[in-house]
Amino acid sequence: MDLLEAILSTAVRLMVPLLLAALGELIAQRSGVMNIGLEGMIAGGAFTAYAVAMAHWGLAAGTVAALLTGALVALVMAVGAVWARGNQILVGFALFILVPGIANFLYVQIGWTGGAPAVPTVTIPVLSQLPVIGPAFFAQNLFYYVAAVLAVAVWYFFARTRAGMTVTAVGHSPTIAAHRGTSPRRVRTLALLACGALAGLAGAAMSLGSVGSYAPNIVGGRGLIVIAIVILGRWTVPGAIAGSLLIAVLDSLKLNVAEGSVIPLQLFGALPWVVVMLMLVVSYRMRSNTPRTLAQ
Amino acid sequence: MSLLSLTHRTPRQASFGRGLVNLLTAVAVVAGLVAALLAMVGVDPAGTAQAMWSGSFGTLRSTGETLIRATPLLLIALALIPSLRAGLYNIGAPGQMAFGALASTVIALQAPTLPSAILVPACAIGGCLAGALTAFLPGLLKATWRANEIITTLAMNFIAVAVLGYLLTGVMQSDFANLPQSDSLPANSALPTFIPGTRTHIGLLVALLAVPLLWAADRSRLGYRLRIFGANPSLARQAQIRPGRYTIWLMTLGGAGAGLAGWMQVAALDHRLYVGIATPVGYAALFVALLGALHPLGTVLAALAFGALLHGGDSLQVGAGVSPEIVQVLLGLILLAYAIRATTSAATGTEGRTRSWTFWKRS
Repeated sequence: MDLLEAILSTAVRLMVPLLLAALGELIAQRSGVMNIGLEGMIAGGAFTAYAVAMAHWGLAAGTVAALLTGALVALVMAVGAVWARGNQILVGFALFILVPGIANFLYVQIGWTGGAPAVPTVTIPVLSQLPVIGPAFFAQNLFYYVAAVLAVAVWYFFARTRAGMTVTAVGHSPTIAAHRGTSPRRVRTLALLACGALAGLAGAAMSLGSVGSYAPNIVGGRGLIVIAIVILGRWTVPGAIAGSLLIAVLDSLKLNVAEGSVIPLQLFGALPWVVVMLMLVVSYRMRSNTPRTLAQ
Repeated sequence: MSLLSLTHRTPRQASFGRGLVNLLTAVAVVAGLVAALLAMVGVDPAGTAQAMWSGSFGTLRSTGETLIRATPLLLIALALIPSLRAGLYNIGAPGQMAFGALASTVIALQAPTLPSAILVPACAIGGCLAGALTAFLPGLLKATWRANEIITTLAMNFIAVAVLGYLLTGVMQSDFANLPQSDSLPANSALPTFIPGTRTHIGLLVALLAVPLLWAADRSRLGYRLRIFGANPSLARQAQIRPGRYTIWLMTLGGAGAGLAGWMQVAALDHRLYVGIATPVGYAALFVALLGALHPLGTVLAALAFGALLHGGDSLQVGAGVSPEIVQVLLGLILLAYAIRATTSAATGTEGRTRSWTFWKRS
């Protein structure tokens, strides 16, 4: 029972950055932009949050800085892929290489060591006393609650608001949207900026929340895992939550079970990637609301 | 995009010249940005550039090292070009290299007494097949279930690292070292070198041999069909070109090139397998192919430039006290500068001004 509790609690902690990034990617892809640069946005956020926290400017400043950095990277993506009409995949891939590169370079060149101060844990009374699920869902760091609120907000945005409908419409048919007086370029730019801000927040949740420090290549391909999560989740918020939790449980198994298990530790590292490949296969036959102009 | 232009040669020749101009513009912009970044952390950009130059071309030996770094880049880039023309982004070169190197190592360690004339080709074929198989799976997933090949090939990279880590701390670990690395490969599996005073091995000739091959393939019926497939998949289907089969073969071809590069890395340079065997190459081959304008000759130039960049970057640590991560920044900026002007987004607009003939449409 204790083990199950530990696995679940770790999983929810690790889920937070994945979920935040997935919400961002969801918005971008709904507007028709395949944002491969997500990895760069997360990495930029993670490094900035850590750097600001190391400069003793406080956690709040770190989080805001991460948000802005993510949005800044997204702006580069918007300029390259939406305004200059470059190849979305290639611009995204360039950011995938570039931003983690800058973060690694600055980290090594400046030579910081040591962990950043951790974000406080908020425990909800009574509910956190529940067996098994209590500590996992009601005693997490602050980012978890932010992510929960944002998940509901993004769901509401797409399900109930006119603006959300417009974003989806642009993803399906930018030409018709343009004829009806909406600028696809503007919508996509805003969607990318929102995506960047959420991904930057995800980065902060990674370096300040779930890991508590920074290491080179901290994101380690998570950006593309998140894209697979969005695809498997069929571009819906509940799907994104389920997918993030699935991957986070696998990560958590690596941390909690790997000691003394029959499966070697190294192979646990490959497990999320095997699952990601299966996810892409499984999702092929599901009911699809794929944005029709995705990655064009 | 009119189909007629497929048969003309002029746009292709023009694209080579334009590719060269693109390359030079990109270099100028990127150099400025990197200089700014270096100045920001208090490093002298001019000194860094000089250290980089002398690191890559300063002596005969360092020129040889540059050629060594350029070899796998050229080989993988040439193998990637057909798939890039079809709009397939195979970023799995590190994983394919790793599995290729693994297969070569296993063959060399299992049959160390075979004469060199048999062992070297056997290792090469083994590495090539292993790399091809590694890329075959993402190709199959793409063709059958339309799984995004960028994600699946990246997944294969991480799976390769995990498998190598597992084998090299277990059954394949060397008895003499406590590190995750294999035993030394037998001497008769090594590739001969051909420029005295350097480590430049005959792998470079193998890679250069692929240039005329690609050139010829471009002009064959297969190359023509590939161009149709890349330009317009639905037209290709009407012409009885089966997209699924092409997708699988194109991915597999890229993997074969990377597998050969993995064989060269382990048999000619490192002589033992370790987890980061593909790190010296990484994703750079994809950049080489793109910046060479997907043209065989452009790719040779780009491979040379990137070989110099990678080797010069690695020597910066000693020469100028700059951490080698700056190379990653440089690569990212170069690709960004290229990608922003590469093509047009079909969804939001009409055809762009600087449209490359290689990316008419994504399949």
